[in-house]
Amino acid sequence: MCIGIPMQIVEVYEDGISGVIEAGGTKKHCFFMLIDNPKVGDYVLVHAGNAISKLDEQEAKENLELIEQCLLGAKGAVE
Amino acid sequence: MQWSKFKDKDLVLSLAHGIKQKAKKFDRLRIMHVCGTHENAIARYALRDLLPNNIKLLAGPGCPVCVTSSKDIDAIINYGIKNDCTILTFGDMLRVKGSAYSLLSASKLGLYVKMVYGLDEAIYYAKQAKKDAIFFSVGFETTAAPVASIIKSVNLPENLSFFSVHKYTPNGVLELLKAGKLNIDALILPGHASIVSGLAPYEKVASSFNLPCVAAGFEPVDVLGAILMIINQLEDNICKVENEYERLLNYEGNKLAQKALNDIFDITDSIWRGLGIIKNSGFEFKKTYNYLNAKLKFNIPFSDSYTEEQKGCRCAEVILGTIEPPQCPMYAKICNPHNPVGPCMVSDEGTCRNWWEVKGDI
Amino acid sequence: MTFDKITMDHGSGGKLTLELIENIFKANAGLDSAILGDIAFTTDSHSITPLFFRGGDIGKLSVSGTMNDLLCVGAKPMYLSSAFIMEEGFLISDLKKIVQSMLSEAKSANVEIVCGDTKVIESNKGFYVNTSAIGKIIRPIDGSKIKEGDKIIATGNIGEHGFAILNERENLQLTSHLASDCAELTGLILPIIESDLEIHWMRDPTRGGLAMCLNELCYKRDFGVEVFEELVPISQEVLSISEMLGIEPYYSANEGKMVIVVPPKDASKILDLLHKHPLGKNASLIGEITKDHPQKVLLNLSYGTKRLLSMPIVEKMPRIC
Repeated sequence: MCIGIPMQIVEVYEDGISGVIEAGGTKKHCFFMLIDNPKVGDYVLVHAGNAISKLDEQEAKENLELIEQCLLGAKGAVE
Repeated sequence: MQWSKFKDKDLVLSLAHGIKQKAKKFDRLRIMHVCGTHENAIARYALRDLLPNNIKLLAGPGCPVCVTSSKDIDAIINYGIKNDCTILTFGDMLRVKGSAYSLLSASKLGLYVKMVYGLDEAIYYAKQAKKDAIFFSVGFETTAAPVASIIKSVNLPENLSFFSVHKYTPNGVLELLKAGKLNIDALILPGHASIVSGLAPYEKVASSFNLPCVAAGFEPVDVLGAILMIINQLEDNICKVENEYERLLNYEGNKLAQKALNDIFDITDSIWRGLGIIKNSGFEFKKTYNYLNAKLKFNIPFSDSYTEEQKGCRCAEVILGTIEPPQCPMYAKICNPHNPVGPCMVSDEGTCRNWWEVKGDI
Repeated sequence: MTFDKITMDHGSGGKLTLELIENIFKANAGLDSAILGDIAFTTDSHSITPLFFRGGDIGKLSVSGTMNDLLCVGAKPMYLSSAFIMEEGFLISDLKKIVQSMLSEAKSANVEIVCGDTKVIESNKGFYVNTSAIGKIIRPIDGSKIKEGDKIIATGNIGEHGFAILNERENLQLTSHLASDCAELTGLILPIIESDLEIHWMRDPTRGGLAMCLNELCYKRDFGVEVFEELVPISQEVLSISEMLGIEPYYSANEGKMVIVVPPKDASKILDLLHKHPLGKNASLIGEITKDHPQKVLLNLSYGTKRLLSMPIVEKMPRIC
């Protein structure tokens, strides 16, 4: 199952490779073998019960800036 | 949090406006995406309606359920019934027909199927089951990598084995382009699959076929942002691989995932439904893991010959972007979500299913 | 569509259920209860897995669902029958719990359970409850007065029952506070029926969710429905689960909500009344009746685009990616 929304790690089990993730009050088991150093509080993207990527607010912000830049180019072309 | 901004109304409308202005310079642009989740987002937010008429957004072979060969489905059904095994798989795989039955309809022949949401759940069920359980392991590298990593690090019950029908997107796309089967001007690359593979495998696609390739996320801002980036490339007459999904996707991809895939699987030829055998486009267990490979463990009869589709089904043309679903004479008449003739009508990721949901009988 | 056998989809409350009612039972699928002069009469059989779920059990459901069906046609619920079909081996303690739920729900609706029946079948065949009920028509609401421009109100957050049950039934291993919204709505709806405010149509959006309910509203009629995505009340929890499973909340069942069609002049007064009751605090105007596209439900998205909200035909399955 592919979860488009980022989910937050709320627990990392002792094995270090699994734990619990949460979004909007719903919690779910998750494996962390495919990300480095999973920590409580991290946001992750989850696929088929496995976190495949981490993200933070700064990256999301930069991503938005990238798109806005493209848009500026588009507006520039119009004017 | 910033995530909700990727649905932001003003930003979406500005992007749509920007695309409209810039697209005027082009007669016609055919942009293909190769991910079921993209098609789902495009249909759900009616994003095609925000685009000018000269931009055609085509759904390529990106629904993993839809490209699963009917031969593979027949094989797992036959084996499951003959040997009284539990078949475990994802929900949207259940309704896809093989040559006669789907996993779901085969339950009336005595097949025991259990829908699962991930391999962790499959392991849980296998432990409970007293008989052999086979995980019908379907999906692109996004699913294959998690499966590989779990196999590597979790103790699996002895009665659980795997029937891999995993596919590898970059080579699938590349081979279809080589065969001249895709008549397109640009590609939107699958955001999540690319998180695993990275973007390097698509360099050949961009350079050899002069196609702008932009990897995109799945929110409306992502999809429209990627289209704008594609148009910017075309305008500047360049064709390169770009990353719209920077917040989650690195150019190199996920090294841990790539290692897990390399450790467990070999890249092999694979049958894509309706498209035939595509070179180097599938994942099969390495010899070391023969004991997990249900095809070998149980000697499941498996033919690698090419399978014809259900008579009259035009799903293959749909996933190549040659026709739109309503151009298939069976669409919404004989073929609908209750009685899907072809695979594209089954999953919420399937192109026909998505069209049917948001446009109806037309 | 033609079938030679009943499939699970015939019971999903979607298009195939509707076809069964029309083609085999040769009945009119239009109203939730029969209007017989001053009397409303309805019946409902209940089967659910699991029998006990967060937010209720089959007992509570079997009373509330039937009460709500009476309210739909403008009736005050009065008397209820209950019939049990139960498998050999069923625990008496479970039966007691179920009966207790029925009694307390009946008390809340101020109705009396006046007759019943008991059957026992072989083990492993399940547990089912049928309830029938009669109510006194305060004023008949039969959908005949629906007009273009009428407003559509949903009495609260949608999708909760469906996702709560799916999670438990399919063992999704999601830990969530989400509970079924299962509730009888007499306290919420009766004051409106008894007021002088006009109501043109009412239905509880159960199986098939809000999408099915709105499709039934304009089924074979000369009008269609416009819904506005931004106005449909959905909790954060339901939104998250919906994203996780790839199933939209519009297709998830409700067991304690009502969809009400009212003339524009009374819409805000009815909303005010609803907001005063705890079960109606999230009530919202979600759409309107239009002549532009008869028999179709269109969802207006926040980007100014529209799409069909189709009549569900098969139960939605979680997606792989």
